[in-house]
Amino acid sequence: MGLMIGGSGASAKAYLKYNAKSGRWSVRNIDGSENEIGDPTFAADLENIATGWMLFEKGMPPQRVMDASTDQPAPKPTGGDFKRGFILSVYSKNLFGGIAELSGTSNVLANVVKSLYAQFEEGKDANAGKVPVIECKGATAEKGKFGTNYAPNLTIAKWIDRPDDLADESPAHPNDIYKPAALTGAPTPAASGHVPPPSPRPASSSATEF
Amino acid sequence: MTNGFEQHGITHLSASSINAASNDMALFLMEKLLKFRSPTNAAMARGKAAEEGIHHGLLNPQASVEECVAKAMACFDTEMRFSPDEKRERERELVPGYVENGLAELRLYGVPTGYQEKISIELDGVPVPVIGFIDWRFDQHGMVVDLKTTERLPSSLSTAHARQGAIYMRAHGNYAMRFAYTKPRAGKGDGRSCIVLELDREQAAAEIAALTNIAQRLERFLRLSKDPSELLAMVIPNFDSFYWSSGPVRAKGREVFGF
Repeated sequence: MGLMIGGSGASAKAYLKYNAKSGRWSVRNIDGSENEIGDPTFAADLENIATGWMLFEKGMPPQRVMDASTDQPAPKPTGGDFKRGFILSVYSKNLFGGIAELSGTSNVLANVVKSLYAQFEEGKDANAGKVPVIECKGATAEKGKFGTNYAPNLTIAKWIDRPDDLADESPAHPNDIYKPAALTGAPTPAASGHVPPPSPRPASSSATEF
Repeated sequence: MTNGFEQHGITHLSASSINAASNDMALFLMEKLLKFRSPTNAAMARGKAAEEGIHHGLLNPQASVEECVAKAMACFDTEMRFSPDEKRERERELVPGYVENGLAELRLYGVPTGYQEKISIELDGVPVPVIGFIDWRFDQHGMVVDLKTTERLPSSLSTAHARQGAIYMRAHGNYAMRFAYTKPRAGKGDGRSCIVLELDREQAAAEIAALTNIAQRLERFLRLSKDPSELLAMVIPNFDSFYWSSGPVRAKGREVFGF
């Protein structure tokens, strides 16, 4: 099943960032410093990629309502211009000193990741227990109504054993994962949005009716 | 040994005082130790007015929206009688929208069985109670509902609101806690003018733990000295915070903290 992100679809850690306008990669390190890097090669935990709704607003922490799984999209939250996006754990000892997060809502990058995920799904049965190593080889210019963007050319170069530091778990914070009330039996979590009014019931079961 | 709260004549805490202490200790101390009362501003008044109007409409299901709005406007004007807040007229214009939109949603809940009731809970190791006043209780649904007026509907509960809700929830056994956020005009994108969010029980438990932790820290801090000026000398106000945006509050802050 494909990922529901992209144009046609629905701390204490380092961050790998991609600027689709310039076609450049950079890393925001744990200490807050940022440095530009060349075309990277990294292991990517596509098995645990998290998709969902994200809201980035100036002056506010990012808000995320992530899907329970890649084939169970969370309902679109109200109260802001939430966009579909993804969170992916990537790993490179040399580039990020270990784990980093690659995430975003940009259609350009999301569509590349979506295509990468399709490659991953094709190859994962033959590479059980392994994680793919992604190689970037330049970028392809894409002209759109908002000007030219550069889609990174990412492909799976090989598969390797899962690095010890790359935990086999979702990169999304548990609090950010949408939990339908029907599954948990708990009241609807706040992040899931509006709760409808309750159905009418008698004010008191002990009330006598005539 | 006298506890820190008693030492300064603080007989109770509330969600707003604990939130204030955790967000801006300097303001909390100025209000509690120097007994400085922040004046009502137009945003506070519109919240109270909207609640008054919606409350009238909930208790009187046959009352027209116009009647409820009239109640709200009278309340707003009373609250703002002596207020110099320059946002007064702007906020006043928005009051009818808050009432109409909030009422449309909350009338679906029926007639509340309780309102403006005082609640009081104890927190472990905290020598004073935490009190509050609920907006509405609906026994027929096992639910407490609090109204919030806002210009932008949230997608999730803020920590401050979750803590307030956790206190109300604790005081009502297994009742659910909901917050109804209403805005004056429907959103251009989604057409929504009211959203109701429910506090998750696990989050409520976590917030009670946080409130307990904060209140205990607060007590220990207040115990350090009987002299308010000594305690005030240990904290730094964040004048960029909205807590200090009102002119009189900022002026008092300048006087107390010297800058």
